[in-house]
Amino acid sequence: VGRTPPARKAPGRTSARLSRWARSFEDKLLRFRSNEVRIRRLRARGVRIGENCVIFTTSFSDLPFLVEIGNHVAISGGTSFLTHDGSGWIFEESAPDIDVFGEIRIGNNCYIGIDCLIFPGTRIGSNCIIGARSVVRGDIPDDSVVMGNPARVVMKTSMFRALLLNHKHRIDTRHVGWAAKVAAVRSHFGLS
Amino acid sequence: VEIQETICDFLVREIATDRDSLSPDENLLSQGVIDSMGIVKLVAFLESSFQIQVKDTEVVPEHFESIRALCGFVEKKQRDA
Repeated sequence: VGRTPPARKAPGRTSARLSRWARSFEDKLLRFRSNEVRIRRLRARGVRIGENCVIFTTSFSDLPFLVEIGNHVAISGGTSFLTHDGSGWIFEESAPDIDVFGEIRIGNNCYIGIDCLIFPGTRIGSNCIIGARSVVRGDIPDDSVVMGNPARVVMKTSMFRALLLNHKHRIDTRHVGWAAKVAAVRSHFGLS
Repeated sequence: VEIQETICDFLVREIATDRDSLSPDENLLSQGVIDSMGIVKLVAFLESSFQIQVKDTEVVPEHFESIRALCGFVEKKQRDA
C-alpha cells in the first residue's frame, strides 16, 4: 500500500497521448453531429455496427474493435463500453505487462438506456432492454429486461412490451415532427 | 382471500391506485396501473411476503395481468415449493 510503481517509459507514449487527446476532442464534436456521421466515425475506429442503429455515445474504450453491435440497436447517451480491464495496475510489480481484455457483443433489436456501463466479456442477446444506469457483465439471454448494479434479468421482454403498450402516458409521437410532438405531449398532460 | 388482500394492500400502498377500482379480474396491464419498476417492486414483495422465489422467466403477462392471475401464480408457487 502506498508503494509507487516503477516508472516505465513506454515507446510511443507521446503519440498515444496525442491520439487520445484527438479522439477526446472528436468525441465532443460528435455529440452534436447526426447519428449517421457518428456511426460512420465509430465504424472507422473499428466498432462493428449493424444496420438501422441509433447510437448516442462515443465511449467505446481504447480498443473499440472488440465491440460488435447487431442490427436495429439503440444506445443512449452516457453509456460506456469497457473492453479493457486496467486493474492489473496494482499487480505491476509481479506481472509488469499484465493486461486483460474482453469482447462485447450486442444482439439484434436491443435498447440500452442512458449511462449504462458494459463490462468486458459481456454478451447481450437479441430483443433485450437494458435499464438506465445498469452495470452489465456476463451473458444476458435473448428476450430479457435487465436493470441494476450489478444488472440482473428482472423480466422477459414480453412482459415489458405489455406494460409499455398499455402505459397510461403512451403517446404515439415517435415519427411526427418536433412541434407536433410537443403539442401532443402538452395536450396529454393538460398544459396547452 | 388472504393472498388477494395482501396484494391489493401492496398495490394501493405502492402503486398509489384507487382500491375501489381494483377488482380481481381487472387487467392491471391494460389499465396502465403498473409500470416496469412497479413490477420489480411487486416481484420483490411477493417473494418476501409469501416466501416464494420468482424466476425472471415467470415474470410474464399471464401471471401478472390481474389480481386473480397473481393469486393463482402465488398459490401454485407455494404448492410447488
